[in-house]
Amino acid sequence: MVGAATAALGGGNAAQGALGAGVGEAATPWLVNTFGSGTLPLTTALLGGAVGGGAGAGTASAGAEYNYLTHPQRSARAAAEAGCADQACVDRVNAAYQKTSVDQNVQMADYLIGQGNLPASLAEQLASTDPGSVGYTALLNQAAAYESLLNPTAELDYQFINEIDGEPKVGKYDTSAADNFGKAVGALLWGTSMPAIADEGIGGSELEGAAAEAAEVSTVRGYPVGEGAELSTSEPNAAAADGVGEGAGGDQAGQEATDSAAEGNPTIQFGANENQSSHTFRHVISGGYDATAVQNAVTSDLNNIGASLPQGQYTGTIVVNGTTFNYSAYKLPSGTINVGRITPPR
Amino acid sequence: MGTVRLLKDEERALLTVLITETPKAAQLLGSLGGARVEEMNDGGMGSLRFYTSDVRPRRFGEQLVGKEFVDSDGIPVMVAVNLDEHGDLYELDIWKVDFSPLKQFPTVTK
Repeated sequence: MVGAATAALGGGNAAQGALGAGVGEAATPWLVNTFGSGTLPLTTALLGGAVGGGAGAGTASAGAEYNYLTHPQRSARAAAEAGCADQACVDRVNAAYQKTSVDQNVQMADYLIGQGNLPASLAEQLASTDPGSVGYTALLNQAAAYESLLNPTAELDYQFINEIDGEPKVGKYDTSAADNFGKAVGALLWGTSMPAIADEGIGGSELEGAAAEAAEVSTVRGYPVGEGAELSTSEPNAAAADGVGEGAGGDQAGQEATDSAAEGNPTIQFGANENQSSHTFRHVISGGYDATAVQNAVTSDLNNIGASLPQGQYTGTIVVNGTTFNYSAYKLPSGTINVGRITPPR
Repeated sequence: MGTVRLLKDEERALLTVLITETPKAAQLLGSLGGARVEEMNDGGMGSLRFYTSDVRPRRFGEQLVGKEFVDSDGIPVMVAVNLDEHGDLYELDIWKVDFSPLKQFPTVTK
């Protein structure tokens, strides 16, 4: 269901885009049987346009080609692929993300069924179809089309966290809209299906020394701020924002090193790479909390006590927007403080 | 997530020892036998998420138990067993404090 996201990000009518994408993808098996897979992009675009109008015409082909991954997941996948030394590695990465996509499709189906707007027959088909099959994607998009018609606001918000492969981001996510509904659903989708890459695809020697390199070039290395901010409505904490809130955007945002302006503050890391940062923040994200605000609060807390913090483990507590989080940090002999766990309340 | 698989012997042994020390041992140890897990994308530190066919959304509920180990290179490794909001096994969280890949899976003796 990326078609609706395209419409939303591009300023179009998301419901219209969803309908177009839904119909286009619903027709995909028939198109494959009739014309062969090579004609899919054009024909699905035509079908989407015929049903969904202008917005649908621009989005249906993308929906047919790509499944459901969030922007950070696409970024993580791209980074993982870039780190691959051979095609086998690339294949493993893609296979892992395909699994993630399927998992998220299942979650999306659960959400759509849960809304109670689907015809019983369609809900039953979703429940009984292999979630990894093309038919499932078609059913899912039919369901999304129903939902977008009957509950366009929810559908719109739901799709705000989505993005398409191979296309430049054409607009900022509407964080105010996402905050109400998309935050909760987005957390469900994002948090329970974090970027999944076979460890052998990015691990081993390719990660050796990553932590040391990170310490050399950055003062705060953490949550993909440029991306996390898309789901965030909070401005970076001024006390800790130097070098945090200005993280570079784009696909490599999470791992662009940033410098702290505050002299004497300890080097703080939330992971040696984007995947590990996401791992550290996974419970924050899945809980629907503002990861950037949490990172800033932890950074501020550690900046306040870092100099006096003895080497070894430290468990801290912060409060962000009234919610108490516990975090686990470790001060290395070099003075660098690594933060490896952040947990929200139950 | 990666491939769903059964627990390795060393993983089951670690979990058994960690869980045995908790008040929920009786409930949770029984679920270890057929437990299936997915390796988490933590950069090679060895964290696992327990797989379930339950369609209910799952998220972190509480940390059941935590313990510190030392890897073969001398770097401390923090291990925790997390439960989901339903009280079921959710994660074996392994954090090597310098974020480097785990060299040797933590072993314990009763």
